[in-house]
Amino acid sequence: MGYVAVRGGEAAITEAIRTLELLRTAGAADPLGVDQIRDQLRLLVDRVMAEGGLHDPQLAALAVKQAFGDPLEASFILRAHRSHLPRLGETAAHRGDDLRVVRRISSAFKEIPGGQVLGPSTDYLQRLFRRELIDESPEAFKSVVKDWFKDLPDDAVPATFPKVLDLLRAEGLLDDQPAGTEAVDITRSTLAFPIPRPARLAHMARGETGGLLAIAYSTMRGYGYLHPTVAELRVGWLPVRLPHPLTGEPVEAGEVLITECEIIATHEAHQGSDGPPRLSLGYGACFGHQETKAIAMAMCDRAMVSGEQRGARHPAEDAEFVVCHIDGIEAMGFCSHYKLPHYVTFQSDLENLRTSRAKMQAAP
Amino acid sequence: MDPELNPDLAAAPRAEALAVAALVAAGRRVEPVTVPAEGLWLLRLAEPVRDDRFFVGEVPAAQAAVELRDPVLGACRGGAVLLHGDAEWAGALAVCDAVARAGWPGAHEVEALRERGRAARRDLARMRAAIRERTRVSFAELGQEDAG
Repeated sequence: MGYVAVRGGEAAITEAIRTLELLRTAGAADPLGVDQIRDQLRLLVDRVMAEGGLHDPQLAALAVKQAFGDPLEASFILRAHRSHLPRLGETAAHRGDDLRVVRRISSAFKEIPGGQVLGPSTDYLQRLFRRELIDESPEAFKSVVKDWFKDLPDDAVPATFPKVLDLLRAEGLLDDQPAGTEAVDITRSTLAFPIPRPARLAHMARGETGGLLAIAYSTMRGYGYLHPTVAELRVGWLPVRLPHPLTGEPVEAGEVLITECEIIATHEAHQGSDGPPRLSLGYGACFGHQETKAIAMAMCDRAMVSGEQRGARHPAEDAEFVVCHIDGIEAMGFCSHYKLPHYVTFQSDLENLRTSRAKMQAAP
Repeated sequence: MDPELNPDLAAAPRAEALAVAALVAAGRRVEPVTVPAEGLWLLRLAEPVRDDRFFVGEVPAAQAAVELRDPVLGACRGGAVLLHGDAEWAGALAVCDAVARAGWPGAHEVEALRERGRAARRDLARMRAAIRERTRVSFAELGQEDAG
């Protein structure tokens, strides 16, 4: 496929951009504050952070505003921004056990050590309109916080919890943990197959939520074998430890919001031995509060591990298929590029078509 | 080394940190020990299924290490790192860190700043604790609630 450079249109392009600004500002509403987006559209901001690959709620909110609310464009802006920033280093390994949890549920066990915590959840909403939000008064808005902070209970529930998987592992129901594979920086390495699991996880962590969900959904329906149980889904703040610039000792530099999920797929023969069958697992984690994405990621992880072990039987088990199609920014770019001038190539296609038609008509 | 000093100072408001740093640095010379830096750290997670490591994404950060020279007291060093791409802020916290570690005059002001950060962290922890406490659930299968 070839492209062609075109000239002209500068004034129209300038006006097209001005028109975007016109439509953003033409209504009667006040300008939308970045803080408002960050706080009140937090799930959208979380999605943009994860897909942009950068945990910066303020910049992600600005990106949402700048992109007129389009999450793909906003993620693109964030990812473009990160690409010109210097890399200071790679952190030591952080573990989900250290999450300062605000939500933690298990569909595998009613009772888990430390208990289940629903936290902020949309699971119990009825998807009916709350029409009072159309004209929400500042007083009503502020009174929510005021009421919530009345009579705060004592902290009886700890902030960190053991993993549900630890229970199953202690009972010998899981494969032993092999010496883990080291992380791969997908932003600075060429994509090549077969792709190691750490790279797959990194690609999925910044994959597009809808893309991941579609592939995971295929495994739930007719194109796969997964009907998993959520061993644990947790949302919380991970303290990020970085080396102190003077002493080199790791110190807490701040926190990032993470969603993490472990799924139990099924039981299967013990890998590589005649031992008793074990449970097989999948794992997902991403920036922000994104439960659907974390579950979908865990399912895709499990499917790709299965594909690796016994050959891909359907698209979700094919790592090349999954990894090449879940990046929203790449996919959007490829899709959108069809808007670019293809005048020469299309003229060539037309010429070929006309020639073929002429030959057919001329044939006896 | 007090492991809570860095997160406490980093949780204090930026403007106050800059003001306290300017106050405690007055009449002293501040020299960078390393070039102040702002940029990104790749965040590495260890996942619990196969103990693989992977990068979940990047976090913005700034870090600074400084030496403070006082005409009477001599020299002391401090450093700071925080999850904001703001080297000026990190530099201010490094000055505060140096004064706090050395116990130089100005340490009281730094301690007050630290208390602001500590309070902010405490409030956050209390809010999260209340979320956990208020939404803790003990599910019972249908029928079990009557049996008890």
